[in-house]
Amino acid sequence: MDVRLTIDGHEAKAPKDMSLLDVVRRVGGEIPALCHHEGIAPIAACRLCLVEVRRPGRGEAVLTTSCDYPVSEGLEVVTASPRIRRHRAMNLQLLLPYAPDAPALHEIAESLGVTAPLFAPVTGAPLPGCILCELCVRVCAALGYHALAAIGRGDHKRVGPPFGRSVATACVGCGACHEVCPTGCIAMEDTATTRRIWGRELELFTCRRCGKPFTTVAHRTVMVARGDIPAESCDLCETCRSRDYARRLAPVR
Amino acid sequence: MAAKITSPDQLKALAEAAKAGLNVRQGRKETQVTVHMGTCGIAAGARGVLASFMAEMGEAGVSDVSLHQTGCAGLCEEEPMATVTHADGTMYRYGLLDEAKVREIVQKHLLGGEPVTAYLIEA
Amino acid sequence: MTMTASRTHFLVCTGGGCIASGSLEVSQAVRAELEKRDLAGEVDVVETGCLGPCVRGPVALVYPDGVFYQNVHVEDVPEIVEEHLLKGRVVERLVSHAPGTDKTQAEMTDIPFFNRQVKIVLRNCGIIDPLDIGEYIARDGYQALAKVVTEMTPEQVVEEVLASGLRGRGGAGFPTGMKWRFAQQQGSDVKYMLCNADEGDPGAFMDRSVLEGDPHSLIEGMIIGAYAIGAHQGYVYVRAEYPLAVERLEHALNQAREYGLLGKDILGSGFDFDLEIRMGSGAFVCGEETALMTSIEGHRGEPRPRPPFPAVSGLWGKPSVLNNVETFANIAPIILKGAEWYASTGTEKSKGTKVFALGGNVQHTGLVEVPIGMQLGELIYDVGGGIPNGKTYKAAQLGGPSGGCIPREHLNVPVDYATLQELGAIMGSGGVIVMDEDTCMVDIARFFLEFTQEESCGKCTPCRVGTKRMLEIVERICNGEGEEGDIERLIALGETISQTALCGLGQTAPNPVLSTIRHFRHEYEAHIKDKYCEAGVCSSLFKARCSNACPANVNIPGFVSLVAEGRYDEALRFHRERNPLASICARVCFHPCERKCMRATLDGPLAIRQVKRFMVEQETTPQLPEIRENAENARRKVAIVGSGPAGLSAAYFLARLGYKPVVFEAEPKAGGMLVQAIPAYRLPRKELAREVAMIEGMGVHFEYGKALGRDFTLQSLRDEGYEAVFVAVGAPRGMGIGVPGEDGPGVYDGLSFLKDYNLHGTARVGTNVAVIGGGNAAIDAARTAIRLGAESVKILYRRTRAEMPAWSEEIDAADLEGIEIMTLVAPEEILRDAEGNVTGVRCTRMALGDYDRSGRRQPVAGHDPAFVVEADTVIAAIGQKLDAAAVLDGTPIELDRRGYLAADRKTGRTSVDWVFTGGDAMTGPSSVVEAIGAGERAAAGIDELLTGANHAFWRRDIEPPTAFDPDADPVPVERHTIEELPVAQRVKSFDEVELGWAAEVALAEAKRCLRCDYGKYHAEG
Repeated sequence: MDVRLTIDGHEAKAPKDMSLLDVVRRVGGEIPALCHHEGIAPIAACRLCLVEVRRPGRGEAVLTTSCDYPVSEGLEVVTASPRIRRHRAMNLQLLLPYAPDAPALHEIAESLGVTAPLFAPVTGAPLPGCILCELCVRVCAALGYHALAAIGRGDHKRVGPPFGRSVATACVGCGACHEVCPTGCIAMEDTATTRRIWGRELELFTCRRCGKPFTTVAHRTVMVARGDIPAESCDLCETCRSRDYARRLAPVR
Repeated sequence: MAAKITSPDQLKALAEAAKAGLNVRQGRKETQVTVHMGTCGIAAGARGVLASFMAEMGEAGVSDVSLHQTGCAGLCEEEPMATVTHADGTMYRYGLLDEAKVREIVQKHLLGGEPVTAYLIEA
Repeated sequence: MTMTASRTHFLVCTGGGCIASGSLEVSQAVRAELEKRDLAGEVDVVETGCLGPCVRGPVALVYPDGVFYQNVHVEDVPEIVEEHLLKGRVVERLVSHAPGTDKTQAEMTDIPFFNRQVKIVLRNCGIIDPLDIGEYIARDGYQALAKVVTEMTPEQVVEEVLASGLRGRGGAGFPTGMKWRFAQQQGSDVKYMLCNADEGDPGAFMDRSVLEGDPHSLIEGMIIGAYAIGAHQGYVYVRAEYPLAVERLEHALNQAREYGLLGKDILGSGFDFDLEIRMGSGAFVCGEETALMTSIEGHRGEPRPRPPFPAVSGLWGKPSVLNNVETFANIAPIILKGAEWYASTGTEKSKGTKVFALGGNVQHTGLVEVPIGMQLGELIYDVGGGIPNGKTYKAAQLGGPSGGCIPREHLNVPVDYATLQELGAIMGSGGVIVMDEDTCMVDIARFFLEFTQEESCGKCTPCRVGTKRMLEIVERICNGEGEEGDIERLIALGETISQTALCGLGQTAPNPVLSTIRHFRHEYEAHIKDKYCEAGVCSSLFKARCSNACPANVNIPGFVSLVAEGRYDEALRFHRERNPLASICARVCFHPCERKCMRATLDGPLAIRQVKRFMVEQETTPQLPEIRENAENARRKVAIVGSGPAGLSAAYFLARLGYKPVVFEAEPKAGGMLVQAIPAYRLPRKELAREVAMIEGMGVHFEYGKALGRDFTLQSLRDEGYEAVFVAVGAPRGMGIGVPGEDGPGVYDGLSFLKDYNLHGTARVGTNVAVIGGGNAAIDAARTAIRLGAESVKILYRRTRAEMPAWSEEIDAADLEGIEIMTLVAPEEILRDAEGNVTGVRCTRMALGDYDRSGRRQPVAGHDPAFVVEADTVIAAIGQKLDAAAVLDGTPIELDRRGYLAADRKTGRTSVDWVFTGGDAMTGPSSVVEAIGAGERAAAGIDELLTGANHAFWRRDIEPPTAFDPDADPVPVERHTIEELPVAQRVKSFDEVELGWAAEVALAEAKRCLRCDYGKYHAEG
């Protein structure tokens, strides 16, 4: 069921309960966010996607995060008031010292007119560059591995292998965490035959067809076991697999 | 192991029964019996008198009178003694008490509202 | 044998606090002693929950007498049993006393701490044995549940709770009935009733006390709630740090199950509900409702976004209601006695009572329950017994680390949700931390922020990082490294955190900082700009608390330790580095240093003033510190108007920089108030003359009989070539009483009276003297009057003795000399006979009303009829002021709101750049040592104006050249007393009242100094 809402004065339609952030982005609006991924449930941690919303019949507009805000009929949304920008800027200022070199943060800084950092870069962080968006932990859990966890509280909080171990024993080396990390702080190094990630060294698996290594042996084993895709497809790299599919589709055409 | 209470009436009955045990904790009542427990009083048997009041009041279910002790009243020859005080400040001093007299005072004075003049100390 | 109820119940508090101080041992000892005395059958010993006054534990209560015993220890037990339990005689040494008197308050109903409380939540706490469900039932326990399941629909229950106006007592204050209604309306088979017993605020133990003292009141409230919303399973989330609470709750749950009050078919009604305990590991964030639910589910205790609200989707995605312990404990009485009854307590918008944990600098720390809307002052002073150790109230922190502070100008406010919020605090869960003058508000903000910062779960940016950055700034300020702009940075950070943090913990975390900035911004500024911590807490900012408190910054450990080594001349020079008037201050200083002395925590503050007295008595030739001759400065003309302590001090410090200032004095003698107002029995005139002569000897010229505004003006000085003028004329104009009959013979203004005697010897008094006022001038006038032969001297003061501004030593001395101090008395009229002679003062009785801005209770007219105090002489000493117009004579110097000369606090410079001021003319009537400090600042300011640089070379901290062994343990030595002239002798003369010390006493006293400054000089480099 679709609901009608206005975004910065423009009318829009969206499925009820869809995340406001996704709705705004779909109609071309811009809201910064660092902990959001359309495919993963929001945790509203970075507090950059602030907007002001007013529900019909309610008095004042309230400041809220948009990633976890379900849209409803008659919602009035403002995406960039001075108040919104001020608080976004301060929260960005709070994150900057942890990832002073990350392009994603610089881009947002520029859009908010933040030029000079308020706080000095943080040194000695357990995972330099990490801003604790927890996308890595969440994507890993969503994929069913649970190889990563948030550890510690407050300023001591960090992400990594559970219980503070140095090696993520449940990691199969799929690389999804590396992929989603907004600051690129998760190290993943491939040699000709092995992949190093989260303290593990995993043997690479080469494509049956083209001979290119495309994932780890451990990851391929899980893929085969889960059976989401035909076992023989698990042995092909993405390019070869696509070609394979394309070939199979050909007769229909 | 207590039996389960299966109805509000059972609970009410239980509460009524339990109330007597906590009566003392309601503090001073409007009518108070005070047994004089100076050394002289104790020597003359005040402890027995106190115990008698406790037993008689308990048995008779007197719940609107509180039982206290105090020191010597200065009339050592009248010991054991007890004073009954009412809300309006009137006081009745009983002297040379024993178990039987206590029973009578509890019955006639505390329950019946009539002081037992025979045991009162002449002021 | 018939079962006989015991005649006496001996209730021993076994709340956590009393157990810690030994109540279980006391209870055992009482049982043993009763057994021994053959009283076991007559006296019941009952171990109850918390009675409230935890600081006085172990506490006990004897019924039916209602006698309350405190600080009861095992060794007191035989006496209590023999005297009270057998003979009915109260053991007076173990009962409470009316504050400041010997009057005992044995019975609970006599004690303000108890009799101002209204107990709904704590109705059974301290009265019943929490392990005995029978006692709960005896006090109408579970009757509300019976009523609900037989007579009421769930809708009616919700209506009743809604109508009662009960709001959640956990902190946010959301209407409980509303929460219940939302959950009730959810169409789900599975719902949960949850209790938050994860009490985590520092100093809060309201919920723990209910769990420990009356667990069934919580259980009953939860079952009723479950019935209302349609839940069949509940959880109590208790922190594992509350083992006793968990144990007693577990016990109570088992009993309730046995009795069929929990489980299937409760009371035969067909309603099923059961309860389980879930233990939390003490993370503060788990007090946040969504984090608590996440934790029960077995996940990391982090909050989750709302919406969806728990009433819709809570525990395991099912509709859930979470209330705290205190909220649930209110439910049974509301159901049983009705919403209307409940709503009759409290205020228009906040109904019922609130339990508070009083802590910090308050006489009666402990647990209290009072009607919502009670005045804060009443809560702190009447229930709490006020501030201990003669200190003054500074602020109270309400709402713990999520709340804010309320300063003394708001002691009148009602403690309710809306009012507290307006003032930047919150009701919170009920923690009230009272803070006295020795509390630094920046340090307090740091403390709370450190707590929340540590307890932040770290999920969202503003809370995880923002609080850390705020803490760094506040720590920097406390360490003396605060920077311009820090306050603004804190406010900006605080606003973003409050506005954008994910949960309540983060949103409220900046409150302690924002609220202390709001009410105590000047303390932040003093830390940042002046590197000064007024309370003497931030130890990086000073060497020793005594010197920090001294308005003249005298190096007290320095001169005291030199005295201790018998190096008197050096000691005196050390003193005069910062304060020339050592002998004068040895007599009349009100010694703020002693108030901050750390030795007070051991056995008593050091008698600093008396050590000084001994030191100056050893002076044979004037001991002067370094003087820097300077030919250029010597040529510059600098005028000082007024020769009081401010003027003398400025002259002295200017002379040390090589100036040759001229002091203009209206009277024929130097000293200002020192000579005009302070009587000789306090300050012998030769002592004053000696130090004036010393200053004169440094090249200062005195011109007597020259009054500003009469003999010269500021402009005329300027015209004569004076480059700078220091106006230190004091505040010498007495204020009138403003009542009929005031004008005419027989009525004097206090200052004129003192001056007439001190300067001219002309003051006369009759036989009956009435002095009106409560300050030092009033006491001086009264004591002078008695020395002048008055037969009866009375002081009439409109407040109570505790509020008198005069120093307590002075008041005590007046008392001893036979002066009658009548308090709560205000004059209405001075009565005169036909000839116009004064016959008396018609007075009204006053009563103490609301608190004023200074935190003192204001006198208001009482209802008693007026009465007459007979007198033939009336001296009005109610205050002094500055007659600025006469002084300025057209020179356009700005005045402050009260009519004193406005000036920069650090230099004394006024709006006219060559005019400086200090002392009473700038601050209003204040102390000698304040004036000395102001004189020093003005001297440095004048020099800076004339030379363009600061040359105050004496301001460096010099390490005392004395020996000290930091490893030696301090030997307990009581403060040495000061001998005085016998009363009979002193009221007949103006001889000095205080006597000096012999060398051995003085040295022993000086050696008591703990040398707080030791080891703190190296940082200077």
